[in-house]
Amino acid sequence: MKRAIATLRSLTTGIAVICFGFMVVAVMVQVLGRYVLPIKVGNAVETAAFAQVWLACIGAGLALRHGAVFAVDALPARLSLRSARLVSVLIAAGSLLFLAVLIYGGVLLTRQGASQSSPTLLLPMWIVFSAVPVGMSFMALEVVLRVVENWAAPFSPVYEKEDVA
Amino acid sequence: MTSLGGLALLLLAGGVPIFFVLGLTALAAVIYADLPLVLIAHRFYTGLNNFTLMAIPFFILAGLLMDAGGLSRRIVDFSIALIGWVTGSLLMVAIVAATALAAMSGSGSADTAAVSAVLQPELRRRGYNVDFAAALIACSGTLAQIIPPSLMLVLIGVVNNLSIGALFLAGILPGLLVLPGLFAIAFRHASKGGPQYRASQPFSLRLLFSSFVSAMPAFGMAVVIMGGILGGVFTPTEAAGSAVVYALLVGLFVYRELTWDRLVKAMVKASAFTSGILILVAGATTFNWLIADAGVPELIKQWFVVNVGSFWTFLLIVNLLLMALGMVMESLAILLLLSPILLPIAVSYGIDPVHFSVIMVFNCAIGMVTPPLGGAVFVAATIAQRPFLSVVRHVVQPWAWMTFVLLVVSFLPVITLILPRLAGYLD
Amino acid sequence: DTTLRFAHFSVEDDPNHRAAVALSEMVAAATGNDVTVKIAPNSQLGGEVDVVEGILLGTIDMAPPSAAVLANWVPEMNVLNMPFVFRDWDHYSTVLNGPIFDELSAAAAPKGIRLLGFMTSGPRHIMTKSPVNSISDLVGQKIRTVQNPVHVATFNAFGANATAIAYPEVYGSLQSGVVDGADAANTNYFTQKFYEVAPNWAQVSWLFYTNPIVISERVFQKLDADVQAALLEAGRKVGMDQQNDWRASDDKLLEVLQENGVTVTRPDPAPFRVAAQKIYDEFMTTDEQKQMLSLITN
Ligand code: NA
Ligand code: NA
Repeated sequence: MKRAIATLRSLTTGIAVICFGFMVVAVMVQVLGRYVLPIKVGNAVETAAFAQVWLACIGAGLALRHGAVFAVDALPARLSLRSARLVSVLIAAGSLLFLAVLIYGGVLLTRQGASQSSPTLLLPMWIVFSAVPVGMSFMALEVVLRVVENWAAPFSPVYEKEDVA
Repeated sequence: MTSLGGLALLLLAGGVPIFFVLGLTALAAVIYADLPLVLIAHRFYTGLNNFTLMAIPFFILAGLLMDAGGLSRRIVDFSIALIGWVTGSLLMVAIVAATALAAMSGSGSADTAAVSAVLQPELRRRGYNVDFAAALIACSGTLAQIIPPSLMLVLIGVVNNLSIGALFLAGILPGLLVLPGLFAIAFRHASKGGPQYRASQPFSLRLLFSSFVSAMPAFGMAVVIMGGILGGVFTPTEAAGSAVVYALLVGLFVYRELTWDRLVKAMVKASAFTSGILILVAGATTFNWLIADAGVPELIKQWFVVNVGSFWTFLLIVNLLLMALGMVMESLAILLLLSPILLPIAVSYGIDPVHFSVIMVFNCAIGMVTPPLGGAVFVAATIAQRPFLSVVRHVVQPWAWMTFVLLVVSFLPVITLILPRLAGYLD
Repeated sequence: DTTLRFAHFSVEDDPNHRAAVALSEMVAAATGNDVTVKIAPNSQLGGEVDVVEGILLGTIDMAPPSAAVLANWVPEMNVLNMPFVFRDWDHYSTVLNGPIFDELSAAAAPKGIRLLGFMTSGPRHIMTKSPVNSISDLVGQKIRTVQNPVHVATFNAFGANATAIAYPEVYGSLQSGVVDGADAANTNYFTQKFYEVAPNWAQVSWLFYTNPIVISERVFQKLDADVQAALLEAGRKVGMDQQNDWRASDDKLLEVLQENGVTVTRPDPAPFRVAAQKIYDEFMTTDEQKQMLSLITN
């Protein structure tokens, strides 16, 4: 079980990083296509934005682990252990409810995307839309794991936590 | 509407992550308005599929690569050589370094973190008041959001279809105006402090020169970003992508500090923060769609038209409102939720949208050091290994000064508009 | 009582909004106020692609997205999106109000989209920083186009370097010289103030932009027969009026642009048409597409 989770985490992190790298390369190709390369590239834009959709969705679980899904937990951090556990379960339940709605809608979106092609490259759009149900399912798993892994101290500060904005 | 706001505040206070607060509130609104549930996933996707938004991941990654590749450290070293000889030198260094970094970094917390990490050990060694220094660094760090490039300026531009280039230029002068006050506050603190604030290294032209040469490749980053945009080489999004490549090349081949291990760590961390911010943007997009569909912006606009005559009053109300929200809300969320509502109203009062955007971003940047929820102070306190509360006490003076500058900028549009006008972005 | 949500992408002082209002009034009158068409202007509910997605997902009922965008679902729509298929305004109106409506309607229905009528966004021209007096002046110029394979291929066929720039960045990119020009209609050339930074306006009418008024087929089928008839009639009528309204305001706009110091050029269309032929060969490949194209050109 632990091993399956570790593998899944590495896999999703890997996909996120690859999407990120692809975005950088695609945008650079676009710039170079305008000035240096003898080829005419007008298409990098679309795939880069699609990679961004995948990065955001598949990286959501990673974000949760790194404390990049910001919350205001000054109040619950003062609770007793019993109440803190209860609150952490309630928060997870609410989060899962919303993720369920995203996954459900994402499936409908993906199904609709089977008959839609992308504006520039005419790719089938389900490839992009499926990022929503896939990524949000993984995030749902991380929501559950967070409660389990922090059971001893649900609102202890994560020292890596860092508000980047 | 009011009950939705109540629900959101309740969830927020209960420690629910902001992304889920937005989501659950949107869900309640969808159910209340009897709209299809699929709407939520669809708007969420739409919020992410946006090319201009890509500047955000790129600026985040570029900032982390600057840190991992030794670019940030050289800028701090140069600042020490430049101003390390005056009273309270390390405090002045913090301000100068934060400002120089602000011209390359789009993120206030990243800026704060970079300066704190390099200066904190030295501050402690020399016996400075670490809490005051942390507060000052946090305030200087927020300049990264006002001085371009800036994630917040990108965001407000994306959400409201404004030229990012014009917004970037508009942020420069208001950001620089903050400096003299910060210097004065730091100087006053240092003069009242003990002898440790005066034990400083002598000024050396040779050191200044050598540290400048060493930092030159790092400063090149600012040339790439703003020079590239203004010189017509690329769009702001492309400039952000180029900043990543530039930081990568300098870290790998010039400073040779960027190892494979550090690169991977930076990529993973950047992915995590990017995703955290993008899903927040997408959640807010969903929420904004519902607000627009319910005609709320129009109602608020009507209220202002009926009750607020002059645009001076309007500006004052907006500043007070944002300041109050800045205490309890996350800065990005404020920008995402309120700018589409407030901007059209500002325009109807004859306020330039670029000017108004800078006011909002300035306000939200201040919000990052406004307690109780002050992200930048949290970062600075964490790196200084000091309790949040003892640091935040010292925020008052710089905070008051920034608020004063904000008011001056609000009522003198020329400060924001002159540079974009000179560059031809506005008429 | 039925409420239909109509999303469009224009400001309220615009022929498209006037058409939407007229449609709403006609439908209300024909159904004795049983059916309300609620208008959301100015891309409030999203851009063109999102709104069509919304129609198919059931979050929006009606909209006038461009034929170029609809082609992502209904490839047949691309026939309206081909360069230089229309000779002039008269030819354009005649075709739009002729048999092509039924052809495209039949193609769209199985994809979940019901066609009600045709609005227009007028002919499109090329703005540049230096004047374009003939097609040769476009060679090697970086021209921003809408991200659509036909548009990109067309400008490359004209000899230009079709470039992708996000719409909010177009003004700044023209101003700073990231691109040398862009494609637009008189309307957005004026309202976005592009003429300030690209004051040369080559009137080529390389494309007449069509915005089919569409409604979700699923929603349409749930309505009573008389409501369906009222919608179809209103859509056609309002579309035709909008085409005339647009044509009148477009001519006036060109005068206003010239008063604002815009240099208008009229390059010889013949070499453009030759280049356009390559695009037909590339994109109109099946027999149905060729037959559809001949419906227009003959
Ligand atoms: Na900055
Ligand atoms: Na705050």
